[in-house]
Amino acid sequence: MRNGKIRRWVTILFILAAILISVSVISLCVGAAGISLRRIPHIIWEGKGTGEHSILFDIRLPRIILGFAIGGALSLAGTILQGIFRNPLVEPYTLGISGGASLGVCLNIAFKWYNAVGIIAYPISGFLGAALVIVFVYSLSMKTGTLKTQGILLTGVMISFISSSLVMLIMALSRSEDLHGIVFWIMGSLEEPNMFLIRMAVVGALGGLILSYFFCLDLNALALGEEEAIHLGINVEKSKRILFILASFLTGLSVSVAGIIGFVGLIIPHLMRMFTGTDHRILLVSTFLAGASFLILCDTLARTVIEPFELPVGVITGIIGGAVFVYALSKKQVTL
Amino acid sequence: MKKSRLSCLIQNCLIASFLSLAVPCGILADDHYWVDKTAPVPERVISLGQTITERIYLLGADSTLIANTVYCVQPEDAKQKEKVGTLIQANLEKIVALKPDLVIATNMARPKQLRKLKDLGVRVVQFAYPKNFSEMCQQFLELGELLGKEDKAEEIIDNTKKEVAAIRMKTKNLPKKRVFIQLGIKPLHAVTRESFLNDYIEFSGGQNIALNEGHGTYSREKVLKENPEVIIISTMGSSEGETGKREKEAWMKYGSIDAVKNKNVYIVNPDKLCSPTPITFVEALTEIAKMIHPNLSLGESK
Amino acid sequence: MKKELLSVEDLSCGYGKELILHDMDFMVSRGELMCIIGPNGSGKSTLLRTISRILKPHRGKIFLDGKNIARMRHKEFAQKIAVVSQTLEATGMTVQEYILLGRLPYFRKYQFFETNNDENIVQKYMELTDALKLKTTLMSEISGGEKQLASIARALTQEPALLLLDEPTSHLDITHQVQILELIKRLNRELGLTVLMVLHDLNLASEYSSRLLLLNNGSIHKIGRPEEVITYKTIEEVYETVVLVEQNPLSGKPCVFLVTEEEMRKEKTV
Repeated sequence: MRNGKIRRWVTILFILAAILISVSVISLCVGAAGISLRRIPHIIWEGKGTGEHSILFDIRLPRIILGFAIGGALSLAGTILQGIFRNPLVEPYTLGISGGASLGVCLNIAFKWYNAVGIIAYPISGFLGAALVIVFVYSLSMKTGTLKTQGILLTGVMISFISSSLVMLIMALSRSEDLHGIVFWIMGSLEEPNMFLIRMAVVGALGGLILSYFFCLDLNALALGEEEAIHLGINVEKSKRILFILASFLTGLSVSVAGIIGFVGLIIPHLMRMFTGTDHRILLVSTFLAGASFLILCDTLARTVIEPFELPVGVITGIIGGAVFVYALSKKQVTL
Repeated sequence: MKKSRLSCLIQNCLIASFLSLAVPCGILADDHYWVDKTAPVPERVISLGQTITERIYLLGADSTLIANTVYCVQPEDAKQKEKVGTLIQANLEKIVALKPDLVIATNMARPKQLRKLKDLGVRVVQFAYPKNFSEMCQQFLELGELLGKEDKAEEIIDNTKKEVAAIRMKTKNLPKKRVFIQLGIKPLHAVTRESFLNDYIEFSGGQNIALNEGHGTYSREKVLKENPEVIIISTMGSSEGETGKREKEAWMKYGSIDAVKNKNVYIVNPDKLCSPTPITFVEALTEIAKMIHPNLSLGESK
Repeated sequence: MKKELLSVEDLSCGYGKELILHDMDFMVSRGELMCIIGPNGSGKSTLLRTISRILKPHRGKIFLDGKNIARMRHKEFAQKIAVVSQTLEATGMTVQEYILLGRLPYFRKYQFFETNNDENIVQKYMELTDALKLKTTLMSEISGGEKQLASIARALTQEPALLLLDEPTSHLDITHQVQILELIKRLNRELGLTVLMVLHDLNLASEYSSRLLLLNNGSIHKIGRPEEVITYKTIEEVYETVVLVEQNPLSGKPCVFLVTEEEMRKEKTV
């Protein structure tokens, strides 16, 4: 039985990896510059120097890499949060966690903390904002027993409203130069010139994946409820704490580098559960890969659909993700 | 217990690696991309803002303009150029594919995008929004230098300065009137000394009631308190749209304000007023001066 | 090996500041099948939850096989005590995956996959609880009785010394009630599994237990064999209701009969 299971899982991973590579290649080949497919092997062969090479490898490729990291990180955070809250409609955006992270980064921009600590102030402020919200939402849900779906999502929407109001307040009080910074940054975008930040995002996302894997069994047990998990010998308090921190870290990182991109962490775990089941030993990695592919795809659409205009990638994920969200809510899917 | 120690270790490693890599990075670079002005005259120029495009045409350098933004519609010819995005979002791929010698951006451009262009080896120059008339002239001259049109730039600036000086002469000894120029409706936004629009008031022999207001966020109550004699509405869409008319009606309800009593509430086209080109400055200044001192006799502007 | 498997000393416990149980002192011998009975609110579930370490006691100690359970590590504890709860959240896993979770306490530090041994054990207990035919069915698609069987199978794969059950039959029909209790009795007899079970139904408790623990108002009212505990006087005291206690003609165990108002009136006139 086990061998059959492992074989099935490895096949799934291969398929997902193949999808990821295909989407990345497609993304590399399309864009506003109108480089024809036939030219591309030449360009790669000729190597650095030409403008076209620059377009492929200095403009498109960094976006693909960042899309991989952020898509993976957000999906992973969504899977973890859904595991902790035992609720399939929970994710960084719907729980208001991206709102909290954005508030953190906004405060960072307004008070110029990056002057004191360097560029790391961005992900740290995002992380703190995200962590605060997760703790708040969770303690709220614990006080009233286990909140039903609507309850927790209502809290999340509330927090989103509050954070965006606070962000607007900060914007109203800031100088116009900072204002531009905040507005631009809030509109999610995978365009990031700083290769260090991109590298940091990749390291953080992959590191998060590896760390989360140590808790895959805990998440499986938590699916039965916290008491049952305790009966099975899981140290629930410790696991929850570490998973919370991990989800905050992944969210804070994503929001601080790429702004607010919603619904990725919602629909990807949902979709993946339908194909792979609810065992986190496969789910964690598969949602990471699928999320990466999804975001790269959305970003490609965002920059080619009505070129030369470029839509914020959050618009595309919002439309697709929002539609799926409404559908899932109406069907009352409770497959966890 | 080993599991928790290992996960702690991993967490610490991640944090440590970030910190160690972050230190040399330091602060984010600031936004000014002044490039060496001794470089050769550019032959392929891309403009990332309508005010830039207008000035390029004024300087007669429009033959070098290969692309601009979707909103660059002034003059007619600008519409025909290749489009590379909007004022706040440019399509980097397209820009690079067009192989420009020079990209000129406004202060509204996304810093990350300009940074990226610079990293890709594209020459980028950014012009901030001028704070006053002399800065505007200075910018125009620098733009002229960049495009190899110093002579034309100097000529235009000289004329402009003469005309502005003439208007200033006429209004110098007139009694100063209290003026309020409105730039935003929600929230109410006034012209302060932070922008060159303030010079319209100064040069027309007026006194800006919101001179020292910092950001410019103002309140109707304050306007009532300051009691200006002239109110000029220059909000987005005010010239042809309903918003201007409605805003004027709103002001007319406050009968205690002098401007309302004497029916000195005007609507002005913001595109002209806020565009930092020397030619439009003079035209707008003439208009404003007439609004403040209706009995003034001014020569026709070009 | 000590005779007592579970030893509860001077235990007081409850939720928050409120004490539900106080001065609890009792022992469960190895191989015993003990039922906890008592009226609603007497603290039966609270006792079970304190023994299973969901609740922390306010005072007192609990020893399992001579060791203080408060000092046991999580996995160690789960290898010794398994719990079958009342309600189960419907999940998206199959019955086999669910039962496999019972082997988690035996996974080594970085082990992520079950061993052949684990799979054999799961197979064994699925056969024992007659859950084999449900192997690949989803947990959300089986009946209440079948869920209980699956939960028992899962608890068994933990290979515990002590099995705790909280009202395993409360929402089942007669057939399934008997099926579950017969299974538990068999496990107790054949595997030597010590069982501590909360039961609502006095007659079932009487039939199946070797000893009964009767709780009332947060403390032990009586502990002993069914014949000693289930007497009409004791029941009337604790449950404040008139009953008739007779011997079951088949098993010889005491049986409780309700006395309706009509019967009481008849008695009086006789």
